[in-house]
Amino acid sequence: MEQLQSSKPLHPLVSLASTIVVLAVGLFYAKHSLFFVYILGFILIYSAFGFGKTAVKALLVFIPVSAVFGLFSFLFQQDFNIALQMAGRVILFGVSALPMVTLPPINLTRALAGLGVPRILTLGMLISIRFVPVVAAEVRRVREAMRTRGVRGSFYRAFVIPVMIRLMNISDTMALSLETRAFSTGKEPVSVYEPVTFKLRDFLYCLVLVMAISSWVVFV
Amino acid sequence: MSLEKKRSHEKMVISKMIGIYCKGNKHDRKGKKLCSSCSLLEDYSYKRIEKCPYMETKTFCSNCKTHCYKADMREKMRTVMRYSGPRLILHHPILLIKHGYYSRKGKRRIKIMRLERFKIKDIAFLAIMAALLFLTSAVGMPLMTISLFGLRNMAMAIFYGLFATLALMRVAKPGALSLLGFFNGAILIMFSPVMFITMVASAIIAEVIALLIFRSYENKKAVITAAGLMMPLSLPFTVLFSVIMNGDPLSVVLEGDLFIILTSLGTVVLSYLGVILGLKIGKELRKAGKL
Repeated sequence: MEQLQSSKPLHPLVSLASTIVVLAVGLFYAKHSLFFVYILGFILIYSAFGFGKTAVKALLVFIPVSAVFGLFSFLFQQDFNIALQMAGRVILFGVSALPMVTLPPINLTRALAGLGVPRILTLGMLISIRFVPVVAAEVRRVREAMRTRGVRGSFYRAFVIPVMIRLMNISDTMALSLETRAFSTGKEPVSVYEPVTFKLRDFLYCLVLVMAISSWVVFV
Repeated sequence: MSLEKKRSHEKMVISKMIGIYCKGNKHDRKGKKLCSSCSLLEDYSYKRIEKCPYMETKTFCSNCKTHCYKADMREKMRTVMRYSGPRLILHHPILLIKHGYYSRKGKRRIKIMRLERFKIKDIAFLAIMAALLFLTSAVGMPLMTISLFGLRNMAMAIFYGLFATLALMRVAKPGALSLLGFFNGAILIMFSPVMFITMVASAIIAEVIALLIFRSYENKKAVITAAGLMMPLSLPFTVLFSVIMNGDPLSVVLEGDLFIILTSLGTVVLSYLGVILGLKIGKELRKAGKL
């Protein structure tokens, strides 16, 4: 996910609103013949706002995935149109999420902290987002250890329990290091060193988004 | 009610209760006056009421955290209360209803006061469990290709049951499941805000149901109820979002009656299977000193 992050992300709340609106409106028109034009339009808008590279990277992942989904859908439903809609929905899923995916998680946390969201929530959000790759690596490591030792079968004893114990150790160590750095869940005042502010770029993006969505709804 | 009024009300209740006890036990009463022993108890209780520092916020003494009565007087008062309490319905029914209401209110307040604050350790653990939930729930992604209601929920149910149980076993505090749902949703919001709403809402509802029944997670049944309900409760949201966002009519979303019953039942069964597995793993981790 870090590879997808942009150096000039949008304001987190703008990104969130954009993801919700683009996805919701897109799903509503998923059965429309011009559905792919809608997706293409938003790829162009994102490119204009500096997310072109990320969009290409995301499409390189989502197009093959959507093809697989479409194929499975065709096998189950025996209907080409439904398969095409399914593939389109998968691409829409990826495209609508672009503003959020390009967002560094710390920006989201900073924006929420700036809005007065309790520290307990912002801290937990940051940990959970940041720890997805760490947890995945830990799971992989335990599986490799299992293979190295030639353990077969005993999935519960040789895999589940060690993974859980490893994750608990990680969580304890992290809690200790956070407390050492004076992090707390109390109501003590905290500083947001780099407040995330609403910039002209965000305003322009909102304007373009509203215009695009409203013209789509009116003309299609 | 003003402080003085409240004090005199308390005194009146105490007097009435002691009176019922004294009369009912045929103590040596002088006319309408209390016997010497009951009179002594009444005087003592008046003094306690006069000196009570919690008068402004207190409800009834049984809910108080400070035991201000002397041991022998406390015992005497307990006997009086035990005798007069049930009989109050015959003499002063309104007073009894009031007492029941305030006692319950007071106990609830104490429960809320006892809500332990979440520590960094709890937050870190819940957040890591949320990350693990996100990774394991990826198994449900390929099932998006099959437009059968509840299939994805069923595939993910076992993981949600398992990790929610472990989370609640370690962080047995009201609000823990909602936080787990929120942290899990925080990752999902990057991909789909719909999933965020579904996860957070189902976690909150499951937690509210469990806490309304059991009050806290001290009881193992509360953990089982909350963790087991989390994924099944996401089913109504799946229907709702399919209807609203995909524009499919309800009849289309719910077509194939037998499959819907199977997937819904499967979600419940697998969710509780996850809970059982979670309890088993939790037991082992507890033995290892990790929970």
